[in-house]
Amino acid sequence: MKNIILENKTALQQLVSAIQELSLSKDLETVMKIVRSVAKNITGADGATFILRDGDMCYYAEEEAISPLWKGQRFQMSECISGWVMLNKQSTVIEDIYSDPRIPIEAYKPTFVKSLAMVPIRTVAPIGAIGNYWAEQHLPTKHELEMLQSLADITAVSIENLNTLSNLEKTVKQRTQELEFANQELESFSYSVSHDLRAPLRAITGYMRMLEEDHSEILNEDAKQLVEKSLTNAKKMNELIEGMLQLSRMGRKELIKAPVAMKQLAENVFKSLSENGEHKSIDLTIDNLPNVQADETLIRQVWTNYISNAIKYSSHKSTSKIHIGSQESEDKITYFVKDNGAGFDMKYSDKLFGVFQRLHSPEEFEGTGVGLSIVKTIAKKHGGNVWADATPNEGATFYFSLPKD
Amino acid sequence: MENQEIEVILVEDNIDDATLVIRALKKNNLANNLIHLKDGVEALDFVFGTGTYENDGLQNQSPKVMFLDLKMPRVNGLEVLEKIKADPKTKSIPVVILTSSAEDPDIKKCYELGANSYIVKPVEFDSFIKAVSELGLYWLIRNHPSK
Repeated sequence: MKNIILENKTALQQLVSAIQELSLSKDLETVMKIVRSVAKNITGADGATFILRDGDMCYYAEEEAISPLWKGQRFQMSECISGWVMLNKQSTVIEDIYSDPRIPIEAYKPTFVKSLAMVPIRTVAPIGAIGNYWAEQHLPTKHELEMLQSLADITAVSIENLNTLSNLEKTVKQRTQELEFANQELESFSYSVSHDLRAPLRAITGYMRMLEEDHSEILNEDAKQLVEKSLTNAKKMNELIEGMLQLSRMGRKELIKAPVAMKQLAENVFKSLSENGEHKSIDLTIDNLPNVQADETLIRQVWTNYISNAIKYSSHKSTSKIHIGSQESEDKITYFVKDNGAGFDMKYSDKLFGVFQRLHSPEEFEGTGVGLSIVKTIAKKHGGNVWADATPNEGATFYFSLPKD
Repeated sequence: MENQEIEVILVEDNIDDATLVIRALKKNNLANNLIHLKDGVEALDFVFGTGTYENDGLQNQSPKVMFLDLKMPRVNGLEVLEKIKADPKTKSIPVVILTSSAEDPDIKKCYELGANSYIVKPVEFDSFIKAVSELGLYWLIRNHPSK
């Protein structure tokens, strides 16, 4: 009596640990291997098989036995005991296989099998079966059979989970591919458009120049001015196309991340920007900025855009005041460039980072409206973000955040 | 012209770009011994004396420079460059690439294939001077007899 309890406990423990293992398995192969071993152990059988339903066929997918059974073979559902179990949605025990009409004797002759027990995996619309086999005539206990059925039920849940998971993964993969494709299409489209748009523009500019240089004697002042205006507009269009090209290049560029000394970088950018302009002196405050893991070339572009904007939009003030600083939180660092310039109305703030969006007229401040959208692309590529704060005529603060690594 | 050696080869399919390049060269008295070839196939035929230029074309001449557009139908500039630089008879012809963008990733490939310099279109005097100076061909502009 003591012995039986002990054996039962072992079988139960096996079942419990099988449940734990099954819940962690990531593929069908693992599930089948766990199940066939556990099935054999909890009933003390000489062999166990894992059968999957494949349309009208029973597929013997896995086995563990004292000598080979039918691994890798397929049988008609109607000519196989596992098929009978699946079709009848119930388990069966056969003490003497040679006296049961449901058994295809020829298939069993080469094997050791004398007795068997078979349980369906999932009782509503079974998807497979678990078979146990004995070399000597044997009748498993009701308790053993119940445990075998429990194992089959858990297996059904595991397989369903696997299916759900793999469907989900497939969907995610497919969506990602679709998105990547659309993105690539868009980028190569805008690249070739910008490329091809430049050829006729070059011709327009070139011929206008020829007109200006080679035929100036037949052009009166009015005509010369019209030529000049055409050239100015062609130049503007070229800048817009250049901006588009830059943006599409940025979208396609791969990030090369390394530690970036932010304070030094911001100082260098400011220095080169304030040197080559004909600006009055600028009152610059630059805090100690934390370093960050990022693509330095791209981050330089961000600083260049933000700082040149700050210089540009504060140029109308008697003294330009620019403050470069940062804020640190648990998972990200936010850098900002604050100026005392023209600012903007916050009700247009959502338009600020869009392509070709401008909140000032070209007469007020020059620009193509590409700079901030490039900044946004760069920040997003790094997993960061951009935003701004402003009061008209008092100044603006532009932020970009980057994740800590 | 007929008896004179070809000094400058221009390979450019865009007629407007070609017009502007030729004008820039003319302004520097460089377009006299120039031949304009309209795509890569013509360029290869001319250089190697095949196709329409069989028993004709470059023969034993050694042109001072070739201006080569990259984006052309049929045979593109990269392919022309590769063939010219792979042949011992033609590899010493200095090749200046004409491109519409300084950021063109093909520029790197061109240098790997042996291009000598590049000019971003539109070809204007300044960029032209820079490219020929880089080639050590500045004498080509200065010493050319004006006509």
